[in-house]
Amino acid sequence: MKQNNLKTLLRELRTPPVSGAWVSKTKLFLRSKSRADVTDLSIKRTQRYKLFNLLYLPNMNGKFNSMVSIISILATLTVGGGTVYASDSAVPGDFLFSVDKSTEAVQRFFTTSPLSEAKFELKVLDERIAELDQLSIANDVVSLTKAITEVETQTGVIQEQLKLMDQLRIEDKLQTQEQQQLMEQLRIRVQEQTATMQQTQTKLQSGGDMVNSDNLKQIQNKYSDSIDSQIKDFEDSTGVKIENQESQQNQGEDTQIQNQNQLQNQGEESGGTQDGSGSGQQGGTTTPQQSGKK
Amino acid sequence: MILRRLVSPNDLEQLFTEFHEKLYKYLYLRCGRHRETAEDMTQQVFYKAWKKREQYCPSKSSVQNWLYAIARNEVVDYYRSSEKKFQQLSEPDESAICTESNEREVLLSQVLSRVELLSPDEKELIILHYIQGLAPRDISRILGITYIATKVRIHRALSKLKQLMEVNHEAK
Repeated sequence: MKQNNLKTLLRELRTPPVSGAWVSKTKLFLRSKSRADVTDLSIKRTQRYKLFNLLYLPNMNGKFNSMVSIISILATLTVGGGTVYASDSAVPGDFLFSVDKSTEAVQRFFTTSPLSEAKFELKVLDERIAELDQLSIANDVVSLTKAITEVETQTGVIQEQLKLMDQLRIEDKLQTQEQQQLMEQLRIRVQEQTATMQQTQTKLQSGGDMVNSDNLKQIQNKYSDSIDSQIKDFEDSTGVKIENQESQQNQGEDTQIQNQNQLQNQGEESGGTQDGSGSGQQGGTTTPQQSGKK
Repeated sequence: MILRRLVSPNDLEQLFTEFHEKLYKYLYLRCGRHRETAEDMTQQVFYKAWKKREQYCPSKSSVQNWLYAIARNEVVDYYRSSEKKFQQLSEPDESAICTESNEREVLLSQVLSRVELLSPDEKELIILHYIQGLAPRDISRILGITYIATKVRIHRALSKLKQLMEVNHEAK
């Protein structure tokens, strides 16, 4: 007999099947035995045991194994947290820049509403512009180009987010007031952002990098025009006027100053009469005394 | 889906559903082909698995290997503690295996009887690898020997079984 034939025969060997009655009986037996000695507490204890024994370390007792596992988890969290923190100050071209972007992606995932998402994207653009400004001093052409691309991409993201908000408003999924609030903030932020971009352009020009300076200028103009256009569209479609909060604040400050001046003037006028009468009275009383003394 | 833990009574029930047939077959062949003994021992294996559940470590071995290790110990304990009982049960329950209605089944019956003539270790390797279909890697973990040693022993056991079959054939 050949070995292969023998192997085939061995595979074909059958045993009598287990009876259904035995299966049911055994299931009942095991169920009663297992439920008799298990409580919720012991289940929790076992689960906790499994949780703190993530690392299997042979020849080591349970308590020591748990301790090592906890220390490992804490070390991982500390190192991981430190990396994420360090990545926050990374600029395009840095090793940790991808970690920074991943962290942003996680934060983006946890934004709850279109409004908060738009605010978050504005914050990211601030960061990208700050990174670009930082790189403009270093004169690293490759990283600068990457940073400019990052800024351009982010401006595109913001524009898309605004379009999405428009769409949601049209579908009655977003309130006009919410979008209005964002638009008002946006107007100020865009002014700040374009101002920073202009500063960066000046730095690039002084460093002799005219190409990147021109590119940035184009991106800045495009972004600024696009936001203006989107704000105008919003105003036209809703009839709500987006005031520049800065000018509103200035106007408010002016009004306050005017009011204060008016009050001061009034006070001076009224105080003047009081003082005048007082002084007059005093003068009236003193002068004669003085004159009498004299 | 293969269960990787044994914490709650439901886990035990799931394990039983998944593995009882395999373990029953293994125990049936290891314990003199006696149906009731195999059934009792299968039940004991799962009960012992439940009692020792906190000792199970998924990173050390699979649930299947762990259950086979318990079953193997059960067989050893059984033969060690009840020699008398073993003597009584050594007569196999032939009627339960197959009806020798054709040549193929006669051949299968002969193979099974020749497997019984092997030493316990050889018999175990033949059952685990060829009849149960376990990989040498898993068998090496169950038996606590190296992978190479397992492969060599399986090969030797098969050669011996082949010789026994040929002797039988020549005698006829």
